[in-house]
Amino acid sequence: METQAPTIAPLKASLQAILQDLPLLYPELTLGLGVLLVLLGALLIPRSWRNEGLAVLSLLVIAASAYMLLYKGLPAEPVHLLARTLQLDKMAVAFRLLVLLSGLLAVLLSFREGKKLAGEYYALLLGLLMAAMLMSMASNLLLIYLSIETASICAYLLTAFSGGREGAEAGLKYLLFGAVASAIMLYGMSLLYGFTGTLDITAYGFKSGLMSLNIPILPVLLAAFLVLAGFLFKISVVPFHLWTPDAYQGAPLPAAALFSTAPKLAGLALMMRFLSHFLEAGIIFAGLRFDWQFILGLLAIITMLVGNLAAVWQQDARRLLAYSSIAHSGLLLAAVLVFRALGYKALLFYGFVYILMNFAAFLLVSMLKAETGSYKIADYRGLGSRLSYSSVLMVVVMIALTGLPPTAGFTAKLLVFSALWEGYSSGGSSMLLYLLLTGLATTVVALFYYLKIPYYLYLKKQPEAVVQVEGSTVLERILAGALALLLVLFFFRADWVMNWIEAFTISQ
Amino acid sequence: MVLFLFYAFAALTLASALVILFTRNLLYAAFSLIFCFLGVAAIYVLSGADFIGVTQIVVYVGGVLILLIFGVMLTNRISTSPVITDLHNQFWGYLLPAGLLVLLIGTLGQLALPDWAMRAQENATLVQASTVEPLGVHLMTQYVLAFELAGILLLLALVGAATLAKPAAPESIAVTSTGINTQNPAQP
Repeated sequence: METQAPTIAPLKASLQAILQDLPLLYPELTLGLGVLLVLLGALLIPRSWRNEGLAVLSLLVIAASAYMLLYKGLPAEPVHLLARTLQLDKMAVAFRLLVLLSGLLAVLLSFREGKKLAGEYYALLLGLLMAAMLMSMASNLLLIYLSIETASICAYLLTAFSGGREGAEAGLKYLLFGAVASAIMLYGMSLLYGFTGTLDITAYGFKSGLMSLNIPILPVLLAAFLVLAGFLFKISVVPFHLWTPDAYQGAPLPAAALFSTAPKLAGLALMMRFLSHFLEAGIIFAGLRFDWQFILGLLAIITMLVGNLAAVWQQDARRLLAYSSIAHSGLLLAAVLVFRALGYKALLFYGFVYILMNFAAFLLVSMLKAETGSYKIADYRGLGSRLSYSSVLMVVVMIALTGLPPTAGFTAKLLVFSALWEGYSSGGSSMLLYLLLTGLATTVVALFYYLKIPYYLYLKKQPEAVVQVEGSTVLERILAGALALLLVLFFFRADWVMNWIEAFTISQ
Repeated sequence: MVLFLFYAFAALTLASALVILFTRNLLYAAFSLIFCFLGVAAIYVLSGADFIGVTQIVVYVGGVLILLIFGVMLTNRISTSPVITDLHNQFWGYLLPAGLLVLLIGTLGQLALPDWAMRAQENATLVQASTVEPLGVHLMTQYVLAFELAGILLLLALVGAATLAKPAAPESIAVTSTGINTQNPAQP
């Protein structure tokens, strides 16, 4: 029981400790300040250039946050921040950088869509980024829940932002599924708290509480699985994927592109952190070491199968990208399940390349929508000769998403597959082999539906009546070209990305 | 006495929760939610979490529920007929929760008292005094980030809700002419 005397004396010390930790959190604080600035800017900036002004402001905030992260926020060694509510290691820094990169691209994509949206759009976008960055560091159940919830609320609102019936329906569906998922996760967290008496998953008390003989293993596993269900929802792994196609179809395109990268990568980081504590604890359960690899591997396999097979039937480019994003989640989850440095490296590489190709794909869909006025793949018929620039880039990006050379998508898939093989051949569970085989098999399926778009672009006849709506802007063309160029470049110079990743992997 | 009160309030909570589940009248469900929340608040107080108990009453019973009931009353033609919800997927709806119940009873039923609770019992450090002060100190020290994050969360939720609720601006109606424009009442 805390009384007056003992709390006041260490109060000064704990406040001092908080002030000392703050510089490492400047990136998040910058984003938080950015949210307020954008809200203020939406009031003050004149209507004629409000959208551009807010977009530039958001870009500046993200750039400032990245600067803070790279030049002020690199800890020499893994540290616990703010009385052990956050755990900052190099892996977390890498994930925070990836989140910022995807945020930057999302704002660049928003220039066109932004005209239709209110100024609050950018505030929600920055809030989502901040929450995703905190997610990749959180090591306290309270903070894990709050950061996931912040990211989710921003995502629900962004989904409904495009207005109209479609957006509202998608937002409501996303909200309902999300609320159920976070209720399930919260129930699991409350059980874990009851078992251990602490919220801090890095604490000794957490492990010893879970390993206590008073608590049978089944309830612990049930609680852990309930918590994982919340994470899996954010990563959109089957069977928690039902919201994905509708949300991607209803949301503004840049927001949909962001959903498939930033929260997903942050969720993977969170999952790695959470599972690593369970693996350590799990080994010591007398003879009952629970096989997370097996159950999560099974989910990853089902995810790859469902995502890829369902994508084959899609007629709408946005739904196709949604199912492709589900399929990629399966592969990213497989990379986590290797549970080795090699797997983490492959995950980071895949995550980085995935951001590039996913944003390129969404940008091209948005450009083609501007040029043809449709999201339907069937309406891309015969555009290859008319809109040669967008069409060539689309082919490059689709090849990258399939995972074929000469694009970085191939290198990324190769790294994940070799990490799986390495994990299997050095005495890992045979689930890794099944994951590898499913990944290879589904790549063939992926070839079929990704190349459907180039097939329509080049091999189908163009209909007579051509509606020219409006062209794509110069900025979009430059951005799409740059992204496609990077995808090809990183195939030939994969070592550049690898060097960067080497500096960030957990093997300090 | 405390044990008797606990079971009484637990029974109240459980019974009103079951009413919410099984009634098809939306207004009855909203009213029995009040009893459910009151029962939960009483359980908080009995477990020594006085601040949470009061917050539960002020925020949920005083704020959220009143809004909910107003919402139900204002958005529906309550005078003509009661609002009845539909039932879908009854088979899975009964099967899945029943399976979950069996699973939870099967697993959580095996539980003994966890270590930390036993230690607390031995040291007799169960909370007796007010929890307000330690809560405040912790919110401003250890959990200051969580506190601030909750602030940002609420701000963004408020901003987003206001943006979604406001009628579409004239130029955006022109853009989304195929969308629903019913939010803007027809003006003469």
